[in-house]
Amino acid sequence: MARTRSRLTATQETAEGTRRGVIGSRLNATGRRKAVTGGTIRGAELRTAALFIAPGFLLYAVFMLFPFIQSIYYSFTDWNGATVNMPFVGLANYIDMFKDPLLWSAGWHTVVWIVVGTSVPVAIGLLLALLLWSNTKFVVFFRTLYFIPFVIPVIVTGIVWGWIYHPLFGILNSMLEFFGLDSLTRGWLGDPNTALVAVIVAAIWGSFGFVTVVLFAGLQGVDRGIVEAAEVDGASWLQRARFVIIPMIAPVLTLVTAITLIGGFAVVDYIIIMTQGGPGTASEVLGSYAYSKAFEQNSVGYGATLSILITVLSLVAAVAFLRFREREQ
Amino acid sequence: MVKRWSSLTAASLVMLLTAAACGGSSAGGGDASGGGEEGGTTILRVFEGIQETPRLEAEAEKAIEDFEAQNPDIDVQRESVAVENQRTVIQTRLRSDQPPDVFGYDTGPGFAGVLAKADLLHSLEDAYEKYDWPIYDWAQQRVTYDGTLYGVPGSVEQLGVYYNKELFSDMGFEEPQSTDNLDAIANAAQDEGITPFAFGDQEQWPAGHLFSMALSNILGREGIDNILYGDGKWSDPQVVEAIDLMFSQYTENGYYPDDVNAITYDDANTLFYAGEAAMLPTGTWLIPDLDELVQDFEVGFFPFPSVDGSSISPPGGVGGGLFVAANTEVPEAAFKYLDYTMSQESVERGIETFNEIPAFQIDPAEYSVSPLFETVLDELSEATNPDAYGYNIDVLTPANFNTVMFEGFQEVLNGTRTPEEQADALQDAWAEAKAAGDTLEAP
Repeated sequence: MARTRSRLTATQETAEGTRRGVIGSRLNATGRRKAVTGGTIRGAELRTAALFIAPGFLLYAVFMLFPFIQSIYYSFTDWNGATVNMPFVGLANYIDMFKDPLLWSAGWHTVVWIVVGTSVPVAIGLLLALLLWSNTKFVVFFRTLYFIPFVIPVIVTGIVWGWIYHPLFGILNSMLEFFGLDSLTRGWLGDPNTALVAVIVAAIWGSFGFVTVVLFAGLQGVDRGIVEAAEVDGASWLQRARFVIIPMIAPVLTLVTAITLIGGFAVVDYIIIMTQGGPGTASEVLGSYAYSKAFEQNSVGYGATLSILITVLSLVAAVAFLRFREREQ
Repeated sequence: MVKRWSSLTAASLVMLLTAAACGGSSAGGGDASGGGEEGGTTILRVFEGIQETPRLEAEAEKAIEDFEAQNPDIDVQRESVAVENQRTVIQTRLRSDQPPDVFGYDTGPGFAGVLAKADLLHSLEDAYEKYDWPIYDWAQQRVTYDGTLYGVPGSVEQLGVYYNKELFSDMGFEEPQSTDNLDAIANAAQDEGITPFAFGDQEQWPAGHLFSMALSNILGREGIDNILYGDGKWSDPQVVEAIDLMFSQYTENGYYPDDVNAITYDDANTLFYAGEAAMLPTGTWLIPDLDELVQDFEVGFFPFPSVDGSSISPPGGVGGGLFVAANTEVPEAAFKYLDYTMSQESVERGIETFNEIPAFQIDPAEYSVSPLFETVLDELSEATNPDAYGYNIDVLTPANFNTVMFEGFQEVLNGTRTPEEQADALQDAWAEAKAAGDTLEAP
């Protein structure tokens, strides 16, 4: 046996050596020309790559990078958005920010938004994606149906949900009354106890379709044979999902969760459309507070400081989440 | 590797700079879309809030055409945006290479006052002298910042209470003179199953109008002046009384619809139009809508009545105004346009079509208007003495104060903040604005 293995190894080494020899002699024969040609190709590739990258980079630089750097600068000023001069105030805005009681309440509301607004759509989206994947009938119909809320503009979603919650003619109160739950009826967006949650529900409705479709796409790469093997081994639907399917789509799940998480930090639109942060400040989140400061209260410097805080928090949260997921995997 | 990145960066930078150069040339090229002189024609950019309805928007366009017909050397490029977007748009536009030459904006210190401080407005002192515009002195004060006249006041507005005349008549009531009368009317309306006041505060600003009505009566113009320019405080007991009356007592009494913070201004108006509310507290700008949409009953208008024997000082003033950009290249054309807005033709259109009340003396009998508008016009056209009127507070107060005011009133309506706490919060916001130099100077 040992002798056989030695012979085989020797044969492989010989073949490998012959191959190297052939390649080596070919390189030797044309070495100079290849070296020159290789250099030219790299330069051309680089130029082509630069040309392809440049438009995207240009857009990124103009619309993301430059405003972001500008925002950092504004955060060190007391600019009101109108004057040519931007009084430099150093770290004053940052010091004021941490003394600002509204920051903490808006921060708490943002935490609620992130926790509920990330976990619920991801859970719903995952469940629906698994159901779609498990059943092959009407897949296109349901996938389209679930995705529709995501493609509807936020302004429309916000207005429609405002009607649903409306205290005078809203369907939610009408349904509660129909089922004899009159005591639960209220002005959902005008009640400080329900306003934030009511807006989050609208946002969840608007985003679960995105999660569903992305996860469903991820599920297309799952080997059904392995899942069927688990089924044969007696694994329940839940066990198959938990221990076989979800680990196989973990990267996609991580990505979609991270996107939803980061979106939660920056939310402004739903709040502005549905409650303007009210009643009082009951639904004010960091994004809407930054908007209000910068564009309604002529405090662009302070608003920029809040936006920097939002950026830092979302970056930290996203990186922490990704690290956590990497460790888990 | 370094070389590769250098090439990449260089290529991107070249593209970036090229694009920047292209952008720069187009912005500064003085193309046809820019203001200024072109082929003997002066291009005048006019920027204003969009009208409420397509019909009125078309009328606004027609006014421009008439101006152009009278001034063939001026080509007006009118741009209208949603009123709520004006604030975010105007500051950047004024700092751009293509600022609007003439633009409509709110007149308060948190609005045009900020622009004046930033040297973004063109002084109109010379224009006033040249054209001798007959605008009320008190209205001129609203567009005067640091002693310089910067604007032409737009229409005069008054806050008050619209009411369903038929319902009042059926219930045996006339226009109330005191809040006791008002209570009696409200109670009678409730007995009829009708909401006394159509009021919704989801947008937050409508509460500012109710507060202005009560406070103007309780303190009078002089008392409010004392807070705005003197030693008075927003935490004074009279201010607390006004907040308590409008947002605690009236809510507890059930004078407003349930869940008032979840009802919009438009929803509240609709309640009144549909006859489901007896009274509608708001401003004179709503007259065109009332004339058009209320079909089943006649609408009356009264100023908010006396509070415990106080005077009646309905909040009145100018809502917005027209301003000229500091860096306009065509100031004379801009002044001509402003002058046109005060011509007989323009005033007639303003009154009869837009139901706008000019900020100067007119003879109401000369115009053909609805009975409701005629009532208001008669009263306001005699407004040569501003002392008889109170203030719409949010027009005179800075942005940070207005935010605290609007958010806080929602909390008082919800019962999560007391009137005393709200008054203290107002005073704190005022002190902060005063320290920052954001409050109005004494006229």
